[in-house]
Amino acid sequence: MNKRLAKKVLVLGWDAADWKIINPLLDAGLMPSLESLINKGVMGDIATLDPVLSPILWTSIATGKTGDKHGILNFVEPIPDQMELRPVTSTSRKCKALWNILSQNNLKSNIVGWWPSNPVEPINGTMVSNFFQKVSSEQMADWKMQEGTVYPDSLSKTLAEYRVHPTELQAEHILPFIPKAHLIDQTNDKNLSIIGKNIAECASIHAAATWLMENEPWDLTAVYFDTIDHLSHGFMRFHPPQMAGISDEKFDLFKDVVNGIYRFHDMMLERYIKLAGEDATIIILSDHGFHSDHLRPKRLPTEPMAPALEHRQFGMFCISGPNIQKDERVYGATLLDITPTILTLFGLPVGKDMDGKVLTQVFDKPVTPEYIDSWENIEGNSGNHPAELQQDPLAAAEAMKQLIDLGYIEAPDEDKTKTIEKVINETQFNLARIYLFKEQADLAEPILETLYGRTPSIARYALKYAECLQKLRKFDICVSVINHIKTLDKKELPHLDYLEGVLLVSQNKPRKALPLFKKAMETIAHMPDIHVKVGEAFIKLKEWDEAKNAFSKALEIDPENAGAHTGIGIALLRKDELEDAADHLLSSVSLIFNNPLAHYFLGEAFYRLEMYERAVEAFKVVTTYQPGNRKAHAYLVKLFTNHISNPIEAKKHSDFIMNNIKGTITIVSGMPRSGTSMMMQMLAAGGLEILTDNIRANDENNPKGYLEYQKVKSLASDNTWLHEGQNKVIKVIAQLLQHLPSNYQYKVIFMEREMEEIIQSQQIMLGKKAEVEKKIYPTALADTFKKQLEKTRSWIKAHPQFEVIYVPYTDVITNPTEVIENLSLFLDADLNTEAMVNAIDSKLYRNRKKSN
Amino acid sequence: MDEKKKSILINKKIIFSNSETIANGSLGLLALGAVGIKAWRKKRLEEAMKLKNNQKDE
Repeated sequence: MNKRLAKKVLVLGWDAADWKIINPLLDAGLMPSLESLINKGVMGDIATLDPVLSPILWTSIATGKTGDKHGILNFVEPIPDQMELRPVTSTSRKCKALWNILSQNNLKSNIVGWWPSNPVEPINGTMVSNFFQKVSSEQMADWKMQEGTVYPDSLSKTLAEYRVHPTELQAEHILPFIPKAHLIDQTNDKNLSIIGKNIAECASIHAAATWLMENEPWDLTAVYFDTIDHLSHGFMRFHPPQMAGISDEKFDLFKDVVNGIYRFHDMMLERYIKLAGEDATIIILSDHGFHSDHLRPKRLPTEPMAPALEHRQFGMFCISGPNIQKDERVYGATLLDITPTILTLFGLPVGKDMDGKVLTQVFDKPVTPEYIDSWENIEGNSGNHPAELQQDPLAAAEAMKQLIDLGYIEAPDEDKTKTIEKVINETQFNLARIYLFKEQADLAEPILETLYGRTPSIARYALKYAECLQKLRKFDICVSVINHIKTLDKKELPHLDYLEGVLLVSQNKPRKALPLFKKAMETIAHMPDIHVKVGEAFIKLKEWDEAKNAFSKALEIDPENAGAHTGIGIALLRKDELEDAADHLLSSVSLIFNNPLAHYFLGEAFYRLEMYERAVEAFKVVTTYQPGNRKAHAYLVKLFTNHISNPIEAKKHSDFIMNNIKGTITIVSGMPRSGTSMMMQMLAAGGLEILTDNIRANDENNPKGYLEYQKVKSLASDNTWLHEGQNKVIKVIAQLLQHLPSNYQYKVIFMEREMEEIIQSQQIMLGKKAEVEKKIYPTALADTFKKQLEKTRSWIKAHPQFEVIYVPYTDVITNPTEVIENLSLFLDADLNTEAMVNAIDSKLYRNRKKSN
Repeated sequence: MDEKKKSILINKKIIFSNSETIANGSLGLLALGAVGIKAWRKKRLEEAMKLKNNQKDE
């Protein structure tokens, strides 16, 4: 076991707290307690997850795992064995939380108000659930506390008395937030009640937490406050600067609420610092930020979870205590890193099944975390709920539905059933979003396909399904979904042009995407993402200055847009502005560390700047996130061979490439006589290496050469020679594609030509010119070929290692430059356009169909 | 709202402080947590008793 680095750890969760609000308050000396922690500790941004929904996020913070692993996926859930809904409960969590792991290692925890934590778990220590502070009656005398709110139960009566009821609050409690409260007509304006309720709940949680810290032994105390989030949702629109559409009167009344609640949290923090003591490690964090400037949404759509659109991607994080660096910044932290870091503070190993990493950079000395496979495999008294209490609510709801359908149980009324179905759909939707966030589109696809099939009129589901299909490169289905979306209510689809543009860019058709992005800008020019996508289109077109301008526009709107920093870094790299490129790429990874693309280009920038050690760091990060990234491994081989002499490392990466990463093979395919030889000639002229043995000589049917490889003919019986084709181009007719081995990646250029022309050309080649002249058309043969082509297309779609671009023969003849541009993007290669155009001999376009 | 109540609210001092020795009835006591709530409720009770006694004398 590692050395314990923290005597005690105090975690304060300030839901939605944002540096953009805190920084001006710090500068004005209005948050002195937080300032004291920052000065003697480490602070930074913390990246949230998607979807940005608090019960999911706070469970990810407490487990180090994403929602698909911990099982908390919504605000509400069906009650097992009943067709009713309830707030999401702790019994739905399907893995251990931090407090369970500490329990089984004889460490005591006080957990107060965590979301979700009802019913409380029998841990080593105490637990007060997130129902504790909820006001359930108008009068204090009637305010009962339900069972399961406090563990151990012996503390229930004591702690219940510390709850604060809103009716107890006086003017002094409200006026700091609304100095002109006396001007409010409370019959029409409920804002005073809202503030009163939130302050009361906040005070209840704080009272329970401070009482436990003073009266119960503890190693970890973790307290969750939702007040900043709730009051931000209610009052951020009144926060300065005054938003358009907000009256002067309302602005004047409520402009101090947001600052007020932050200052109150700082006042509470003073108490926590005193109670925790000098030798405690204190962590303060939020699960996401909250837009407070020009990025505040002007209005919210009428859809579930719409308030989440007010959340900002980056929350705040601060840690201070023994063995922690002083007055430093941390970069690249995410919510998933908190549990691994706290486990390391306690000298405990981190589960390899956790999705987060230990924030080793916060420690003042190098720390080597320990790992085990999973804490789920370790027996012990973890204080989890007993097995019979733990239930998957969705599975239970399904089971319930079955009993109803079978007639064993009376069906609830239609409204109730519809509501429950909506919740189940939304929970599944959240799960799909988590998979997409984790770049597991293949796992998201079946969920979204089902949702789309079940509720095709819900635009959000359809849009997400289209996004998923685009990531999976299932473009045909994606286009059909987008066509369906176009038939839905236009009010819900402000971004359809944008989505279509994104699809075209991913299909390597950036020039066609640009007009759609331009149209989308009529409504969403204020959103940074549209400018990022325009920039990405220009990157594909290698128009570096235009790309730089687009990304700059995105950064003007949002200086913390990681995608824009990455994009502008790439553009600057290509313009040989290496230092500026590195600067932007560093900004990108400091915002979002899990960004292998940015790390890759950062590595390239460092390499070219001859900063070889840093280049190694960057490429190693790439290979951690993308073990199969051949180019990153290749760079590491070069670095360890030529610049930082380390033959062992060099060999390690070179062996890895040899044993694990098969290269990409470019295939030119299609029916015989569809233009495959012409395409091979073009690619050879363009600078690509062709795999050919030149055994088949030129002839009158192909005067410029076939460029074939004889071994292809026996592909069906022997495909072991394919390694010869790595990073080269091979011609393989359509009917033989299915015999290509699956352990390579293939880029297929599939030639298309009118069947009539193909058949005629084949007939002539076979010496059947007379039949052609007599217009004898072998219909049966044509039909067979058509069916084979359809089958080949379907086969390609079903095999993800095949990436395909369909190239009409006539387009090559009539519009070669555009075809070559598309090929260049598809192959990610710098092709010699002029040479390729010159390789085309339109006089060889014989056997034209009459209409051509 | 009657004029008397309004004047009380206008005249109330708005206190936002981090000191533990803040006057009773302000946010400061809530910010102290459990000990502050105990003290605040005790003070309110004392004030209520005092008011009751004053009204009796009148």
